[in-house]
Amino acid sequence: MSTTELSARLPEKKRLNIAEIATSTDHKVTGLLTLGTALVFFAIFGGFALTMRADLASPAQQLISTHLYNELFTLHGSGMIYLVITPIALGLGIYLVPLLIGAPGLALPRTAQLAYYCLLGSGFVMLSGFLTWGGAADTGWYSYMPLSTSLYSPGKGVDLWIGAVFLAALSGLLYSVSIIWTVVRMRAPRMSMLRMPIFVWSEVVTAMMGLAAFPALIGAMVLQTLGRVDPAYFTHDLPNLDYQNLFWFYGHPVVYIMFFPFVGCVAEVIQTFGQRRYVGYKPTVLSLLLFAAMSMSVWGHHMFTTGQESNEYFSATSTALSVPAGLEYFGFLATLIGAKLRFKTPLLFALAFIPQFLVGGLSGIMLAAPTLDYQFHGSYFVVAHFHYTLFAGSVFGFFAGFYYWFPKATGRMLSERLGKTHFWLLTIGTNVTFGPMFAAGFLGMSRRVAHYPSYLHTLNVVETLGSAVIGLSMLFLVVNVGQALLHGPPAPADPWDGHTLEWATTSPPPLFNFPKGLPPIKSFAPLLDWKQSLRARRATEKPTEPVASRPAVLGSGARPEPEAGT
Amino acid sequence: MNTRSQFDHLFTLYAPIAAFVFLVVLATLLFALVRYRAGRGHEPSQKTQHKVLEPLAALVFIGAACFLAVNAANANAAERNQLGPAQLHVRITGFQWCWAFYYPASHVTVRGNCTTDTPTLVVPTGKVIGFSLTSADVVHEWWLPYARWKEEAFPGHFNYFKLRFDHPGHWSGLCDEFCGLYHDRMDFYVRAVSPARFDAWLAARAAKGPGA
Repeated sequence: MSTTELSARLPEKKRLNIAEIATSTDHKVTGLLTLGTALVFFAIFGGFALTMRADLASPAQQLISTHLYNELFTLHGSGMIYLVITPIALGLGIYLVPLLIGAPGLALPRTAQLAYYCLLGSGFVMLSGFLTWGGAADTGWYSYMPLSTSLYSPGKGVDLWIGAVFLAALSGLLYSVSIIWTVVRMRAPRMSMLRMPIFVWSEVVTAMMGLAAFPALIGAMVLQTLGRVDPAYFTHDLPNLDYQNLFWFYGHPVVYIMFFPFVGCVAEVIQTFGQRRYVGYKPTVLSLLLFAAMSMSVWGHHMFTTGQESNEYFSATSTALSVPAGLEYFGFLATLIGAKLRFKTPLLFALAFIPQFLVGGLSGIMLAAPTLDYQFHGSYFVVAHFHYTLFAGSVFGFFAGFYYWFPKATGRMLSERLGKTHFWLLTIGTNVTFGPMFAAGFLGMSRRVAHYPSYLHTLNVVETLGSAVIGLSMLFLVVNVGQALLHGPPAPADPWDGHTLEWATTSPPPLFNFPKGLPPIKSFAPLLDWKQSLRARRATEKPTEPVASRPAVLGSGARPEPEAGT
Repeated sequence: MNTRSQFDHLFTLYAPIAAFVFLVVLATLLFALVRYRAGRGHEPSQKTQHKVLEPLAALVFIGAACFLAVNAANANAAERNQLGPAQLHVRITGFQWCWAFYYPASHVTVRGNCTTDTPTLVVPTGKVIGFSLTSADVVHEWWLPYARWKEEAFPGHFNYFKLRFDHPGHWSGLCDEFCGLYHDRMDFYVRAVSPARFDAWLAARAAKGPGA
C-alpha cells in the first residue's frame, strides 16, 4: 500500500442521501444522528434556560407569564436530562466504542437504531405539549405526584410528557443493551477487558447502570399513567412516596450515566495531549465499577426532607461515593504530573472539567449530610450543585471529547482560535452564572420560582449576565463547526498523535472501520505501543532505512499487520 | 434554635474541608500546567502507576468519608432527638396555595390566602414546639430559612418535628416543593414572642371564636 493511503485528504463529495442515512445500521451513522439530534435539543432547551434567566433579571418582572415559566423549567430539566445529556453520553458510546475496541460495528445495530428513533420521537412528543390547549407539562422534571395526576394537572401536556419519558427511557435502555453487548461480543482479538481504553470502561459501567435504572423510570411512568386515569389512588401518602422512591431509584444512577462517559472523555484527552499513558488504569477501572455499584444505594438522599426515609443510611452511602470519586481525581492529577502538555482546545476543556466538577462534587458531599440538606434541599444551592456537575462538569467533558473526536468523525479540522474563544467565554459564563447560585440558595432562594424577594436581586442579575455570556460562547461553536464542515482543512487519520485504535483508520472511518487491519493490541494504548515499537525499530535500523518512507498514520511507512481473524 | 445550631456546627466542619480539598486540587493542577507544559522541552514520564501512593490515597479517602459520615449521622440524630417532650402543639397544613396553622389546645386557626393575607405563625420563645405537618392536596414543603429547616408535607400523612426558638424575632418562610401555578406565592411569617405575650395573643385569638 502507498504511504498516502491513510493520510489527509478531502472526503469525496457526495450528495447526502437522506434515505440511506435514516436506514443505515452503521454505528457511526446512528451515533452521529444521536449526537446531532441531542445537540439540536441542547440548543432548544438551552434557549428555554436563557429565557428563564432573562425573566429572573428582575424580582417581579413578567417577561413571560408564571404559567409559561413553569412550562419552561419543566421542559428545560426534562429535555436536558432525558433528551440531551443522557443521549449524548450513550451516543458517544455508540459512535466510539466499536472504534476503540477495534470492531467493525455494533453487536446490535438495529437495536441502537430503534433507540435513536425512540429518542427522536420522545423529543417531538414532549415539545408537542406546547401545541395543546393547556400548554406543555408544568410539573417539574421529576413531576411529583399527586400534582401531576389528572386532578391537579388536567391538561394534555402531562400526558404527552409521560409518553415522551416512556420513549426516552426505552431509548436509554436500548442504547445501554447495545453498548454492553458490543463490548461483550465485538472486541478485536487480544482486546481483553483490561486492555479496553478508559473511555470504553466508562461506557460499560454507564450501560450497566442504564440496565438497572431505566426500568425503574418505566415503572415510575406506569404510576404516572395510573395517576392520569385514577387520581383518587394518590390521595393518601403511600403511593406518592412510592413514586418518589421509584423515581429516584432511576434518578440517582442516571446522574452518573450523565457523568461517567465524560470522565472517559477527559481521561482520553489528558493522556493524548499529555503524551503519556494514563496513570492508575486499573484503580480507575475499579473505581468506576465500584461507583456504579454504590450508585444504586444512594437514591434516598433526594428524599431527606420527606421525613419518611432512612436518612442516616443514605447519608453514609452517599458520603462513601467520595472514595471512588477521589480515586478518579487521583488518576487525572497523577497523569498530568509528569506529562508533556500540549494546550489544544480539547485539553483546555478537560482541564477546566477537573476543578469545576470538583465544586459540584464537594457541594454534593455537603448535600449528603441531612442536617445541611434540610437547608439546601430544593433551593438554588442544589441548582448550583447540579449545574456544576452537569454543565461545568459533563458538558465541559463532552466538549473536550467533541473537539478531540470532531476531526475523526467528520474528516475536517476545527479552528483552534474559535475553539479557544468558545472555551474562555464558556468558562467565564459558566462560573458567573452558577457560582452566585450557591449564595442565593444559602440565603433562601427556592428553585422553580418566577418571583423572588428583592434582597436576592443583585445575585440574580449577575447570574443572568453570566448566562448571556454562555449563550454568546455557543455562537463561536456554531460558527466553528459550520466553517469546518464547509471549508475546513482536511483531517489526517491521526491529527493528535493518539493512543487508541480509532486513530489507526482514516478520518472519517470507512464502513466497517478498519479495512486495513489493526495494529497489535498489547495494552489499553495499542496505537501508542505500535508507534513506539516502530520508533525503536527505526532507531536501530536507521542507517539502512530510506528517509522517504515517512509516516502517514502509524508513524512509519509500514502498514499495520492485520491480526488473525479480523 | 436547635436546628440552626446543628446546621452551623456541621457547616463550619464541612466548609473548611471542602475549601481545603478544592485548593489542594487546584494548586496541584496549576503546578502541573506550568511545570509540565510542552514548551519546556522535557520528555513525558513513562510511569503508569503509583504502587504506594494510590492505596495510601484510597485509605485517606476512606478515612475522610467515615469521619464525615459519622459527623453527619450524629448531627442528624441530635437534630431529630435532642429536644424533650413538646410543650405546645401546632398543626401546619399546606394547601394550594397557602398555609394554615392550627393550635389544637385552644382551637385557634391562622389561615392566609397568600395574595392579600400572608399567614403568621406565632410561637413562644424558649418552649419546645411540636409540629405536625400535612397537606390538603399535593406535596408542599415548609421551609423556614432562618431555622435552617424544612420538611415535606404529604396529603394523607403527618410528619412530626420539634423546634425551639431561643430569641424573639420575625422571619419569612416559603414553600420549597413545586406545587403548581402559584407555588412561588406560598410565603408565610414566623413571629417568636415571649411566652407571656404569646399566651395573651392566643387568648385574644381564641376569644374571637374558631372562625376568626
